[in-house]
Amino acid sequence: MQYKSQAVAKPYFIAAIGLFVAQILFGLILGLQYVIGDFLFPHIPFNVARMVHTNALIVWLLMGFMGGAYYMIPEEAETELFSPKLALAMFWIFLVAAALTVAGYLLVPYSTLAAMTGNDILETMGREFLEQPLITKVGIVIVALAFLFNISMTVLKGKKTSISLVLLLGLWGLAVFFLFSFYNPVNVVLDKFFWWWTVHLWVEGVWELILGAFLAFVLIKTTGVDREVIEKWLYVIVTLTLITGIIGTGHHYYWIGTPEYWQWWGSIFSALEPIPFFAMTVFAFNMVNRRRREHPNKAAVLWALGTGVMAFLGAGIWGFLHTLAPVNYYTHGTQITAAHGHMAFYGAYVMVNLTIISYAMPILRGRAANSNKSQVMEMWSFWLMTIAIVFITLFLTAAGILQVWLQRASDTPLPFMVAQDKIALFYWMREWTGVVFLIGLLVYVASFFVGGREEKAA
Amino acid sequence: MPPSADRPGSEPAAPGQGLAVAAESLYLANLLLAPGLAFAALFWLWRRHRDSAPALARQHLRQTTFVSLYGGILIVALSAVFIALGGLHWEWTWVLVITYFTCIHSALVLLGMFGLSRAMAGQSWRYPLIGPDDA
Repeated sequence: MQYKSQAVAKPYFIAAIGLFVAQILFGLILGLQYVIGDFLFPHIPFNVARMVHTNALIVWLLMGFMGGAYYMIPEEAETELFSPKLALAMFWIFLVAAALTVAGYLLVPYSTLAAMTGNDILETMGREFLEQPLITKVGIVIVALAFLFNISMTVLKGKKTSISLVLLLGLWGLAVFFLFSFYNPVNVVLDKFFWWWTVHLWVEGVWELILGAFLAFVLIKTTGVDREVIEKWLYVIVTLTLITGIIGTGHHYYWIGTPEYWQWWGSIFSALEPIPFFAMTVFAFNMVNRRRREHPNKAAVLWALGTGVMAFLGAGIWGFLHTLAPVNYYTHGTQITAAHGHMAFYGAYVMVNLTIISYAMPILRGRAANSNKSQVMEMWSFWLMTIAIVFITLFLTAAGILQVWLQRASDTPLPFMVAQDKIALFYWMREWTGVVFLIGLLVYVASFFVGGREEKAA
Repeated sequence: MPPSADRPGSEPAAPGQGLAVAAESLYLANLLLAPGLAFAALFWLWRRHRDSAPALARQHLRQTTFVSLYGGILIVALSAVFIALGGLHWEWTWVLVITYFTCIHSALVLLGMFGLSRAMAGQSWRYPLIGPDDA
């Protein structure tokens, strides 16, 4: 490790992986509740399991982003972090707030939690993905501001590289767009309209900048390709992301009461959204093909290449599958959306976090790369999780097509729950594939504890 | 020395690299933007350069032309067989055809992306399974 203060990234990475395990466990509970409706009821109702599954995902990805930034920024800025103590303090605040929030979800009825946490002062709860109590949301803002202050000051006092500036742009964007989670107008159309400014402009906007910056950083380190070449690619990716992703928000505005022109704007611009992911994949493979060194951390390179491929498939192809308004008229809110969501989140943001963790963790533990044995295990976990998510996506896609046929396209449409019964076979297959994913994740965790001959630190 | 070699980060292009990149781009355009039209251009390019171009370009032209043909057959013929066997009024036909089409089409696109990245790095690329043997 070049700078001592990079060490603050380690607890963030460990907590991120811990929350990842929790997310998957709740995913399995949730998957089982699709086919055994009263499984764990009333202790963990479906809505609570779903909330924990999605919120744990968001929190661990944010933890990973913060850890990645704390690792990357000192190296890019060529200076120590502005305040390692602030970074550590924010870690504990964030972790305790996340734990208390999950405990609140599990131990208290949601309406009671709302009453206990001041939702009547400013009503922000009860909306998908933004279910967190008001005090948690305020806590997230405080942590985000302290984090941004810390890394921005580090960049200001050190060297400014394109990669760190793209990362800063992404992270500031993340914080700014989160503020829309506090805006909850009574008008439901306006509510959904601005809700997407947090949800969509995160995952199909500013988070892609974070993804691009992490990928560029790891590829520079592992391939030895000139920074200038990688930065040019990054500019192209950032431009394509913003051009397509911002107006692409319109693909959420087809059926919520907004003007009809959104069906055109949303369709056209979101049909272009696979392009930045296309560019990312070609970029990653091109850099690895042109590499000037064989980096000992092969697992990190595998994760980097996997990010490109799986993000293109999940976010690009499976997004395009149902993004055009005439198609979305039938598919909106079906299991096809769930299929896209699972593969896109895994391909883009889970994998990029695992890329930066895979690259940084051995260095944080005093070596250039893990032992061969540990890397082989990590690569096994890569394939297990990746193949599992591909099949989860395929089963949910099949379930979604069947659901559309039975419930939407048919001349004699079936009621929602009857259609759900008819697609249960795919839910079972998804559940078993989810177990394979969990095994992959456990292998990943175990790879941290495997010994063997390690590559010495450079 | 070509002028581009003076710029930091740029490397001199391998002989035939431009044609190789064009071949892979037309292969992808045939799948994504202009089916048929892009293949016609690729076919013309292959016919014109198959004996005269540098080895790298010849290899990419041959691979992309034949994989476009085989890929097209895989996409259209098998989808047609599924529809012919199941009929358009059976829900499982749709489940099978849409899932199959999406998978095979994405796989062909991904392979083309790998090919493009290889061409851009001045390297050859043989498409797995359906790519013709390099003569």
